[in-house]
Amino acid sequence: MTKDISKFDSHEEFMRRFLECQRGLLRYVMCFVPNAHDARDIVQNTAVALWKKNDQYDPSEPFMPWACRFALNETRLFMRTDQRWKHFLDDETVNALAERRHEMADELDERRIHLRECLRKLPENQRSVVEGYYFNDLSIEQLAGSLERSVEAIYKSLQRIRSTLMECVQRQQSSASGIE
Amino acid sequence: MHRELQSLISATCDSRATDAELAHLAELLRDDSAARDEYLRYVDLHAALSDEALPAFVSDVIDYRISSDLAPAKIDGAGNRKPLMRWLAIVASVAIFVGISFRVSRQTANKVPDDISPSIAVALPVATMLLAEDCHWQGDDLKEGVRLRPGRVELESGTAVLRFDGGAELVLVGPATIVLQSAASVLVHLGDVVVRATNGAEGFVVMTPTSEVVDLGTEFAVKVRHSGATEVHVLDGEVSYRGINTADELSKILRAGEGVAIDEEGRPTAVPMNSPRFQDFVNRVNPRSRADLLTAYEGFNYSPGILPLEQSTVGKGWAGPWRRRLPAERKAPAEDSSPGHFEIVHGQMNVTWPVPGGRLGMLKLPSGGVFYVRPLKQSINLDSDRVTFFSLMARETERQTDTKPRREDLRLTFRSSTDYFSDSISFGHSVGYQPHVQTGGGVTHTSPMVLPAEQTTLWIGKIISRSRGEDEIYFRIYGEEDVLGYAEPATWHVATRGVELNTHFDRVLLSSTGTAVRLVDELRIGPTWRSVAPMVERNE
Repeated sequence: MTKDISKFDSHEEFMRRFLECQRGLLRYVMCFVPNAHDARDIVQNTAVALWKKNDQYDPSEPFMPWACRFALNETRLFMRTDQRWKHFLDDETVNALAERRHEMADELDERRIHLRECLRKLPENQRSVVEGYYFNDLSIEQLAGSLERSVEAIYKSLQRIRSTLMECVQRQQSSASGIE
Repeated sequence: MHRELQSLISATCDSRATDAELAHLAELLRDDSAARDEYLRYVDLHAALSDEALPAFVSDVIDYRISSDLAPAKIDGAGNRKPLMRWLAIVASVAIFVGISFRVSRQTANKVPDDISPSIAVALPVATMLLAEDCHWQGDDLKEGVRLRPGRVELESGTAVLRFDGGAELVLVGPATIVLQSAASVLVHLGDVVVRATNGAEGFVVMTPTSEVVDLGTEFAVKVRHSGATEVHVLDGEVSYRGINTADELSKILRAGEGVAIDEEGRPTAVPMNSPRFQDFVNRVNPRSRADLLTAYEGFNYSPGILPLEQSTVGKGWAGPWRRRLPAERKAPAEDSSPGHFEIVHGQMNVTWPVPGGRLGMLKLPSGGVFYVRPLKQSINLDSDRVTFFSLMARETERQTDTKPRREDLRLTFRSSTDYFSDSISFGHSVGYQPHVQTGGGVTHTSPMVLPAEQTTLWIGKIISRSRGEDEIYFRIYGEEDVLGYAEPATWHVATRGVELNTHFDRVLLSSTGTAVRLVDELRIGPTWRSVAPMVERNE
């Protein structure tokens, strides 16, 4: 039996708290299901689950870790039922990734700052692929059509761009740490 | 090792990894802590790009209480709404709905929420009305083809079929009240629904005042009474269900042929499975052609031979005969050498669809550039909320494959007499024979699918215009082997994004360029799929 009194002063308060952390939730969920569309669905399901259990929320606790627990549950549920992802990660690996991600949180945040700089350095042709695929949400096929390239070429290009960005971020991080 | 790992992660991020590759990556992540670190760094970079959550971007938080005009949705230079912001709006709406429904579920179960938030009215569509037979709606008249935003739908009587954007299809039998929550979930307050959620639509959620039913790849029926009492009947596959106040982990599985009744307190009791199938409802409706709704029709029903253009007066919904382009309508090419007559032929198409046309009179377009315009009596007004379908039958007599790509195309373009060259929508195919839609300003939306060579094809397009907000344009070309359904397809070859037009189309331009001779017939323009698409009708 649920309680009749929500721990949130109002639905608006719940919405405010949720909206504040939903980007973080998406980022968190994508560790386990690295497809943005699927991850967005999971975050939507998380919103539903959080509201249904909102009376269990302890306002003295931060909202994000509480929401992350729900997001992880919803991710597991999604992975169990989704044809594509159900054979991907077992529970043990999910737990190991979640734990390691927690330990790497500062490093990952720092890498995002470097990523901004690295994106600026991308040549124009690579930027257009990033903008089309990530920012304008075009499908690979649409992107291939608009850039007059083959679908396979776009996939390869994305892989190259992410590798370039990974290397650039690593260099920036090493440089910032005085390692290089 | 490093390169192989990145390649696997990259394929996984782009959803193109095979099962074997996913399994291999899973194994690496399970056994190798360094691989886990590399994976986490990689997917976080991918997530940052997907989320636009880089520090360079302002971290907008949508206030769901403000109207669409004021909502902080990002608009880029081209006028496109950023996808993330669309998503945020959807999530906000979903959560609001759940909030409403949850409050209601704690009160007497038969109350339906009335306080639909303003944000819901501006949320993106989540479903399409496929079929509406003898339907009387409470509120707006929901016609076939309309896109449905999250919100309440009340059917007083009749039968309707909806397709959610997530792929699930739902039959609604009046009287019924449902709330569309998202592309993959619905709340049923009252009435009977049958859900068919297969082929990627698995996971569709049906909430009721007393229970939650999650599809696990199946077809099932949900019946909700005024008291909130719910029955679930599984026709195929299986579902998981639970009382609304029961923990997720206590969900139970219901298999094909089984039924359960869940009372107002959420207590389940087994009942005999008793529901018609999804297809039974569709068969019962027996969707028939609605050619009576056509706003324009051209069947080229003339005797074989030469027909001067000024005599091309038959058909329906036209304000005059076909003509060549006027000087003011010519831009490229500036000269127009189109013959001043049509060549009408008979029986030169291979018509595999149940359509009356395409056998007798049809138009043969000669090689070289030919351009013909016909004025519409009733314009297609893109500044109003409406749906317009068209269909056209076309045959390519030969396809050049031995030379380098060149312009060989057939196009059907809608234009405005008052502003001929600004806004337009053109349906056709690219140099590579891929279906495409061009909108004014030269923006092209191209399908990756290549048209079958030298076949008779059936083109069907759909234009959803809105007085405010983005228009949606869809296009699909059916080959001789393709079968048409009773309603519009779940997948189109082309679906546009970011198009916003406000013109009135009152001209149809038919153009053919290149060396190939082409045949066209059966141009239909109407408000629904059933008005333009060939239908197989069963005789009762």
